[in-house]
Amino acid sequence: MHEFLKFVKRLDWTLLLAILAISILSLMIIASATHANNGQYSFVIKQSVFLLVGLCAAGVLTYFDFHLLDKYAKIIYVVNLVLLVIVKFAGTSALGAQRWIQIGPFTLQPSEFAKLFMIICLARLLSQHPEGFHTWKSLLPVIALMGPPFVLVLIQPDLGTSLVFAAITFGMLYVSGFSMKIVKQIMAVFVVSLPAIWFFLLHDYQKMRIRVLFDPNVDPYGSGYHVIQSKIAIGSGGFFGKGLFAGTQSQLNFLPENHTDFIFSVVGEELGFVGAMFLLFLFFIVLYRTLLIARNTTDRFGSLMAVGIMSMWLFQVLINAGMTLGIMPVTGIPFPFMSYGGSALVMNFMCVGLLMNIFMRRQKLLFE
Amino acid sequence: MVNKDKIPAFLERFKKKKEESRYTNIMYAIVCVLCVLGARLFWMQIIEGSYYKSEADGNRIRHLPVQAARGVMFDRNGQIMAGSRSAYSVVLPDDFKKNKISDAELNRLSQLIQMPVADIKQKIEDNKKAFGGLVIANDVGIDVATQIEERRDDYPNFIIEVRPLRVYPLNDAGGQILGYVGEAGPNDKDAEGNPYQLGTIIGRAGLEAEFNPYLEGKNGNKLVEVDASGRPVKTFDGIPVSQGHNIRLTLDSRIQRAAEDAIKEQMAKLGSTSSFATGASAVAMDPQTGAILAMVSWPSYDSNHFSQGITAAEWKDLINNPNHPMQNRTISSVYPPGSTFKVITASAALESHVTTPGERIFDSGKHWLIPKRNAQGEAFGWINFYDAMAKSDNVYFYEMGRRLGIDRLSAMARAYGIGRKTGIDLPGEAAGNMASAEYKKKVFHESWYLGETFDAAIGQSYTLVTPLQMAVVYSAIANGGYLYRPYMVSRIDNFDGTPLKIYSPQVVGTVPVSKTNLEIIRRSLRGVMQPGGTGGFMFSNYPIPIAGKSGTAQTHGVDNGWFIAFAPYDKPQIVVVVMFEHSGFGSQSAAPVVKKMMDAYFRVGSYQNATADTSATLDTDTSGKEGGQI
Repeated sequence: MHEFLKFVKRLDWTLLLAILAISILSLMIIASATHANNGQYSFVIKQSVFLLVGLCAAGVLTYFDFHLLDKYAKIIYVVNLVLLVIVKFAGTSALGAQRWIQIGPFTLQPSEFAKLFMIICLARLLSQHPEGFHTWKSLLPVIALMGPPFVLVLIQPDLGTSLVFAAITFGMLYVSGFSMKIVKQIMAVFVVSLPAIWFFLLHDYQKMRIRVLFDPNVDPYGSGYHVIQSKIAIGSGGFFGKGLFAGTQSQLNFLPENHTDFIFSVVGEELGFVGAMFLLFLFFIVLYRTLLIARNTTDRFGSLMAVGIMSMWLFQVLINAGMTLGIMPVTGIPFPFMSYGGSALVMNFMCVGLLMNIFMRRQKLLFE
Repeated sequence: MVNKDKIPAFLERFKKKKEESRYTNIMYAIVCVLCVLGARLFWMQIIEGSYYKSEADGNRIRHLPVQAARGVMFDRNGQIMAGSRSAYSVVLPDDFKKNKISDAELNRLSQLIQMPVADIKQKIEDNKKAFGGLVIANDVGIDVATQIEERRDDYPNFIIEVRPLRVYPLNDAGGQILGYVGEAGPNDKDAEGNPYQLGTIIGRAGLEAEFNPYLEGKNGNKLVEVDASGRPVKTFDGIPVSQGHNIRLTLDSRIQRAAEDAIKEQMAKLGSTSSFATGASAVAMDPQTGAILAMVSWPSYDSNHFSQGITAAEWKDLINNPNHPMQNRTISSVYPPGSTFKVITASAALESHVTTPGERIFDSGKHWLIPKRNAQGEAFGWINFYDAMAKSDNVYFYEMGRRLGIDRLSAMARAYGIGRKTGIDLPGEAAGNMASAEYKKKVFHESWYLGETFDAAIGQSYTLVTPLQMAVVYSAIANGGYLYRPYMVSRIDNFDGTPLKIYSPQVVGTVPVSKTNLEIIRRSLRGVMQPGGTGGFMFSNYPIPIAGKSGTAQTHGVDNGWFIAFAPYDKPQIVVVVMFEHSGFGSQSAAPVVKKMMDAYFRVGSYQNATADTSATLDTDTSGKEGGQI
């Protein structure tokens, strides 16, 4: 008991409380978006169960020494690839993409877990190269590692998640001493190849989503519909919002996917500017504390994992909230800890567990 | 939550580290991302908040037009001639007209309402610019209505509206008189000259058109909060509707129906004898007021078809029908009056003292100056005025014409209103024409011949009248010389039942014929209906003393048959005029219809126990309270 108390005391409570606050806010908003006031509790109940599962997973990942992951990284990498291949060949599809594996009554979304797995694997690889990455050649191992899962996710198709991989990779490389010269070269190549990407790589629906970003009215009842309705929802929320369960856009179903990808719109509509800013503030704490953990950890592997997690969350918040606000294209990237979905929530809590683990073992001397 | 003095300490330590700047940069990135999102929130929620608020209301609040029910038309006994009932319509709401409707949805709707997809598309395309919800299908069944309402996701763009539907219990017996209604088109303007809202029902013909400003109500709307699939969630009050004014007609639906039935029956009979009858007209009028008791024009149309939405094919059939069912023959068609005109010749002759009732003239079968003959070639020998009228002798009236000359004849005819509109409160009335020397000179640049005076004296030549004009002529004879303006609307009601407007009988002139001479003419007309008279075959035993005149008018084709009567002879209450177009058989085709109408009026024969009836399914008060979406 005494041991346990000591363990609990050493947790990063600032981070944990912020996360829990976001999770509770999430349950309230999901309840509103799925009409729990009309007796439809199934989404809230499911998400609550996922939350408990997530907390348990976080507990498990906090308890053992994260250095074990270093040893099992190869296995994790293989398991990850196997899962992604299974999705491709035996997964269930919905909304035009094949992203889920049916396991009994649950559907598992391996690409969510793939994010964490890739953070672990990449952290291991980068931690073995303390000299940094100053040449294109030195990047080859990174590309070799990230390439296969990136491609597997991209062909689901899930461009959003593969972009998250890219963001994670960039963030982790950046703190590993990634040469800015290479960054600039990559940028240059990207800009030059933009026309090629537009004409040869993007699907028509993806092109439409980008066009819609600049003018949602080019396709107001197709690709533009979500963005238009989301903007109306958020904008009409005003300063104090319309109140929980009282947002006309979400309650009258004008806003589709309002419990998953567009949950931030519901926050904006029902809780207003005050509520949305409060949520962003909570995220500031989460991201700041995560960065602090990365910074204060002497262990390079742990530090890199924290940066990877931080990059993932930051990128997802930017893309998801940006999408609901009409400044980012529509992609299926969920809002961390907010959007309804078990795989994402459990994975995010596993990240929290890992962060706690790293936080508690930031100075080897303090431990044991 | 965050220990505030930790931040500078943390940044301090950053500086000492090798990767110091990189962590700082990430910190900047976090702050930058969150600030961009926050700024965007501020812009949308605070600065542009009111714009988005109105957009959100526009999403959820739908202005549903509520159509005002048209005023009810009652006959003189309070029977409904034109009413409204609630009907379900499939409507494409105004807000949705710009939507791109999927082919799947159109196909489903096409199946459901039995209307080709191309027609639906055409209808939507044609009405894209007009203001208001577009009715795709009118008066659909409750099954169709529930299908659409219950499967909202299958029909996101269409709604069911309850709209008042115009109903005519008399079916085609109302026809051209009541007229019909239809949706206002882009060229129709209301009383103030403004275009109508799409789907507004306006009168297109007959009384519906003539009294449209009173009959049409004021449309209102209601505000309904709907969800994304258009299901109503809440209703707010909008602009209230006001119903149109109810109108009381002088018509008597019993006589109206009797006339219609009798004409149909007679047409069937004539058809079996291979007659080429192309139409018929019947009108009953109160000679003491000018009130129209019945007015039928055959062939007719069922006004109900128009309210339910007439198809292009049906419309084509109607307007291309060689017998012109759209024409109200009673007021819009002109015919030679034939022998029925003889009362005018008689008036002129008696009034000018060119003869006396007792003077006897020898009828050898033809006139001694110009060998014009009687219709059937008869020769009646020595006859006086009464004999001539009863037997409809032509030679006698040729002689009257000769003695009068065309000018005096024309003047008397004009005094009776021939060649002039009666001024009835219906659209499309014709004036007809009275034969005269001036007319011939003006139109044909030829001078007048005596033979033409002969023709004019027996109602041929260039004289053309409407059946209604003859009703006015015989009313004047029956009532002692007063020309009444015929009218069909006796009053317009306010919503509380008090009169807004009352139309009283209107004398527009008197005929220059003395009471004595009118009495002589009446007595002669009584003789027509007695044994030996041309109407005796039908009316000699009639329980009500009746007077009248037959007529066989020559046309370019088969003769028209006329029969005119008024009764009771001593105190006339009703004048009936019936005319059959190209029926042959002279007055014999028209007389049975006159008799049936008289029967209905006096409740004799088969009409002894007849009671008025109108379908009880109508709402007399469809003020639109229950209108709108179900």
